[in-house]
Amino acid sequence: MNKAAVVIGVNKTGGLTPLGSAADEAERVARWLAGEGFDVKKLTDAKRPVTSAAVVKAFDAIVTVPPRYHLLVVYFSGHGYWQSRSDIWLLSGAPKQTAEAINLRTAIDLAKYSGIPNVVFVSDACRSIPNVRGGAYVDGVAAFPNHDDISAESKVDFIKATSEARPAYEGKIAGAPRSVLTAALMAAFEDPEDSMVRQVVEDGRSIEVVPNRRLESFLQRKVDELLAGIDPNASQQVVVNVPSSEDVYIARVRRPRRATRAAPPGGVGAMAIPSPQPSRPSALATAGDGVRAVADAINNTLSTRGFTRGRAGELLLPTDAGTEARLRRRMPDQQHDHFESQTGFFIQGTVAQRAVASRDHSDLLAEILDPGDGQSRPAVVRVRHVTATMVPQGQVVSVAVQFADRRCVVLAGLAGYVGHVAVKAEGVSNVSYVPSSNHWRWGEYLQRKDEVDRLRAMVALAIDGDAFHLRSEREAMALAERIRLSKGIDPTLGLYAAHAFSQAGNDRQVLSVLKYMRDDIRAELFDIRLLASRLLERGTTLPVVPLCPLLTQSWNLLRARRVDLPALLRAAQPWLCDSLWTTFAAEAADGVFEAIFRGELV
Amino acid sequence: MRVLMVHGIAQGGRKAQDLEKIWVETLQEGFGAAGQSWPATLHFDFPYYGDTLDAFVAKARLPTPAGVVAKGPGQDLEFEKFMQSALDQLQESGHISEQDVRSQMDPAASQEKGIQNWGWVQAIARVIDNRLTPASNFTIETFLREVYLYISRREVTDAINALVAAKLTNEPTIVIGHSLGSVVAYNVIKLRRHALDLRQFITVGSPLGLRAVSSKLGVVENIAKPAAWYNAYDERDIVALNPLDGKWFPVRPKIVNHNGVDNNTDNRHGIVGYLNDGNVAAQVAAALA
Repeated sequence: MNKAAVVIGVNKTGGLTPLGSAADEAERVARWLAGEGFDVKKLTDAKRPVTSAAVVKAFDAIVTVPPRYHLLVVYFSGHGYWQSRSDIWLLSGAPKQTAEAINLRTAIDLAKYSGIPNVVFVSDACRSIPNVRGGAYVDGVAAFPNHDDISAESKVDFIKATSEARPAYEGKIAGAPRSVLTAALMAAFEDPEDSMVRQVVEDGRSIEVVPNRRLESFLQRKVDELLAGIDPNASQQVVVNVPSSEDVYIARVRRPRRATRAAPPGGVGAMAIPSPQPSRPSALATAGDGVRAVADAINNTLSTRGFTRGRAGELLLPTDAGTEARLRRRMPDQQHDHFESQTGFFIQGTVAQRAVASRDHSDLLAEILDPGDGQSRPAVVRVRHVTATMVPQGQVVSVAVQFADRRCVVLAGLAGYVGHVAVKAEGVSNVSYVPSSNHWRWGEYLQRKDEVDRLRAMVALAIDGDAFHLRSEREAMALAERIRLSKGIDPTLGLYAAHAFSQAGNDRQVLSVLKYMRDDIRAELFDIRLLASRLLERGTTLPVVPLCPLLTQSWNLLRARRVDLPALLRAAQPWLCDSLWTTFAAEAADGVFEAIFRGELV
Repeated sequence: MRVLMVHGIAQGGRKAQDLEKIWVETLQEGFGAAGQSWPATLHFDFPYYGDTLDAFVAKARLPTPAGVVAKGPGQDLEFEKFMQSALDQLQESGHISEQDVRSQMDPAASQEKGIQNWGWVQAIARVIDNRLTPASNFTIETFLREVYLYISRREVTDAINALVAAKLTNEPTIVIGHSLGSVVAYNVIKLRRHALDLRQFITVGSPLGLRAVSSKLGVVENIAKPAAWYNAYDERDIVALNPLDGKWFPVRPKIVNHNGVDNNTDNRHGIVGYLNDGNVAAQVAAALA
């Protein structure tokens, strides 16, 4: 098997607190992987700054057409941001130079089309939201080359040091400055538990390995153990996603000889160094277990053998009270189930100030019937035909709604659907598209309402927490089955599922979602078209709504998919809120809204 | 010892026995050129897939560059991408100048600024055909259609591979693949290496050095090892422009490339211009020894 690694370690980034371990960890990892037969490209700032150009050059040398490696490990230790729902790895010149960084979501998207069958990302970096305005402009490079010739999809595993918007830690372990995740990862191969080890034959030799699939629980336990020795008050929730199969592994088990075994973790006077200082702790940080439980319940339901359509399995099992409350907030509003026009939005958690429909469809308009009170009374935004009231079947429109706090959203107005919008402090956390109760779709929705509403809320919560990942083809098939109604697909679940399919390297299912939606709503949702772009057989004549990505994370894929938004929207990207659904912060919201109002954005 | 011969494109409607006879006689010529005596015990297998591939081509109804110009892109996006990628690379590697290409375009026609300028793509195809194929059934469009179907459509790959794999035995074997046949042989050996006592793998006029082709093969490997892989080509053969070296086909151990063939067929690609080469025949003779 041919293996390669790009190993990056950056201690000093702009004016951020210098790290003590990143470059050394990269050295260790590079040595370790080289010993495992990897061709290693190592970039650290031990002697000179690490630049985007050097990173791109390293990837160009490895990610070739035709592909020549079966496995690529991409390791980064250094400062990181969580920006526009993507990890940003900061190189030496960031944040002053906005391109001196790596956009991890973009890199992962391109890695899927690298031709290398398995790619593993290890991110030992903070995922803090930048607390200085300049940080918001750092978008980074994709690092991976964009090879159009490659059509096979790779499996991309990732291991992230911490949950979104949270810091990762370094500190003294056994007397030396170490990054906690890296120390835990290397320990997994030096001192694995028996259940982690698998015997495989490589190049004719029988060896012990630790498959990527068996790393997660060990890593969390080890991180907890190491961190307890450094700072008992710190916590670090490792995020692991492994769509690859059981036979994919990074390295062999190499148990050290007893005489040279490392000292126990921890060190007297050790100090945790979060990097950089987090500005706004995520709500998720206190509720990560609930999100994980929800994600597990979805996965378990999807993977249950013999499941039949209509059985909700573990979905219906109650979670803790706090999580149930969060799920309820993502459920459709039972009191408001229709519009005369059959189309519009009920918005919970904010006060609507103004609304406008994009001018590309001049027959439809959006109007605020009730601004709401930001509490129990939702804002009511109706979309209607200018003369006939009812929105004709198959018509769609982009709808911008600006809130009283000046933030703004751009949603897809879909004929026959009511969008139940949940707004929280970070922005829009969910939009449940549900058939209007006076529409013909309502009857079939009613038959599976409880299951679909709960699944949608659970998936929304799990995706919001970056915890929902499909683990197998079986789960993908089961999800594809569940999101289907008889004549179409639940739009929200279709959107979420498309992201999950794409992340799992299953573009065929993304395309299937797109086609079902085309048949049903006679339009394409922006994000799903974006995700299916590699496989689209022919140009569409159908409208695409809304005029920008619905989910914040989709913005990071625009470059990789070569989609160019109007300049005004590109300029607004740094002002996206840290919310699951695209929400423009006040600084950009006026401009976006006004441009739609004037017909400059359609 | 036997030789397994895997033919290339545009062989539909021919008789396998006739083709085999041509291959064997040409190889005999090569033995003569190499100063080698023809071994009496050598025998041959010639799996034939020409009609099978023709049937798939007829069924597929793939667009041509001219068709894309007339009707617009999007008729078969994947094939169009393949065709564009291949022709772009053939232009670059074949040293086809911008002036040559422009000479095949309507000077009065409007010029699309987008990345998919199909007038340009069509013109590259015309230059290649005009330059190399005055009197044969080989056109670059035929080549691209047949190669594309084989490497991109699972049912085509499986059907053709099965015809070739049926000829695998545990007898010591030299495999010779020509043109698309080199790709077929590569795939079959990769999948069934254990079922074959391979003594030498010889590719002639192979398009494996084209990115549009190699990118569809997964991680490339030297599937012949521990036996040797010898790749021979005429530098004027438009589909075999690139050596199978570290840049175009990076494998270990390296493939031995021989770019000194003087292919005397009118398109510089025909099998009778390859197997009569003394160096190619010498490789066969060496493997027999």
